[in-house]
Amino acid sequence: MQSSEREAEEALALFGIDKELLKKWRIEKICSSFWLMSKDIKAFECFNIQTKGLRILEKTKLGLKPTSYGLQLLAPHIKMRTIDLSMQELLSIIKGIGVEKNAEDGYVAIRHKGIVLGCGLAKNGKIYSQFPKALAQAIAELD
Amino acid sequence: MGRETLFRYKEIIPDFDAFLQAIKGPRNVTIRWNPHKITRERLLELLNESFEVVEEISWYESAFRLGPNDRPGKSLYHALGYYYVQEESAMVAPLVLDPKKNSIVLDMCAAPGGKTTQLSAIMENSGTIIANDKAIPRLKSLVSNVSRLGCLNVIVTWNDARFIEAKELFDYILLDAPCTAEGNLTDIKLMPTHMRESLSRIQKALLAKAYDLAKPGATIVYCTCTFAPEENEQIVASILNSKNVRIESLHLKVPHEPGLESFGSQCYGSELKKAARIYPHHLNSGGAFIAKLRKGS
Repeated sequence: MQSSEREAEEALALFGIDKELLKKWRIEKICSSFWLMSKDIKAFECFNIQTKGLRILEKTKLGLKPTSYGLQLLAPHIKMRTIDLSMQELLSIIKGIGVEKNAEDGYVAIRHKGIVLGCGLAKNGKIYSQFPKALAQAIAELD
Repeated sequence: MGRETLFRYKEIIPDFDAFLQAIKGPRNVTIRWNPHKITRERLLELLNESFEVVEEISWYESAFRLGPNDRPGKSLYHALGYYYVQEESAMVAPLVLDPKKNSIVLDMCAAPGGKTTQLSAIMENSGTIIANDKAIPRLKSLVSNVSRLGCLNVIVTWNDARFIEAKELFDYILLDAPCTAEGNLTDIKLMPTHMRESLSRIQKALLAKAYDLAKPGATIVYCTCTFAPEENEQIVASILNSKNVRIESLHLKVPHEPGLESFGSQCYGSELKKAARIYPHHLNSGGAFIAKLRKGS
């Protein structure tokens, strides 16, 4: 196993995602991101490749940040670093207002009514949104 | 000279009045379940909580019909990738292609990704789908949809598919060709003739390239969302006459008409009856033309 692949597995293990589970797929590091893809995916050089599989982790100043789409896909396997937010709290974080929660600093999986919605950041006792624009917009429109 | 209208097709479309009415009327709102993100049973529960009308579609267990005023594209569950908003007629071509798990598939003109994500679901996120498109703005929507739906077997590529230099790479090819999109019209006026002619040349080149890229014995599905025989039967007839390829019968569970043997002075041949034409009044959805081809070994 390459060290980069191990790095990704360790970042996902923080969420309780079993390393064995990840063996079902292939993880590739492309620039500063990690991509999850089907085990037997085949790329052809004659095509101008833009993306391959699903981006699951991005390198940031704070370490590896899981993508919201990655967390959603792996939702049934996430057992740790979850934060449950009410609709009112969700609406606050997508407006950029931190919501007070007792959580260790770092990236978290934000849930609402038991559904993993995406990635958040816990910092100094507050939770902030790391949702992609489309998801944040969909939540805002529920208001 | 004024633009042609849908009356151009009066002789070839049975029940033309119903056809015209469907063109002008509201279309069904339909969605397709995404198995990568949620079980069908759980989705059905969530849909029943969110929408007033949720009807299962008899011919395809992954599809659901909602109420005419429902806006499923605005729901949180849409943003979470639990489903894709897709017209019923557009769901047919990937089912006709029916790629096996772990196979290698090319979706030549893939954006915005409705058919790509459906192929990914059919293949249970295994194998490879090269989802190609040539327009950057459309690629953005393709990447966004592929990510939202959690497709792990899709490689998004940016090429003008006519000029890809390769041969015999794929087990299955879907060519959802750029077309005059008459199947999506809400008015009876058609696009100018020169556009149809120009698209027809592109379609012909794309289908010839699909032939080159297909492995011997591979399946190629050619489809459009237009009624013009110059963009449908004429393109398929052209490849049948020039390459080692045959057209196969379709066994569709949806109402449809057979492909045309001729139009005006143009003869396409009796084999073209094996293709299918889905008109808006068949499913209260868009129009579609579908032909399934098999490359010779």
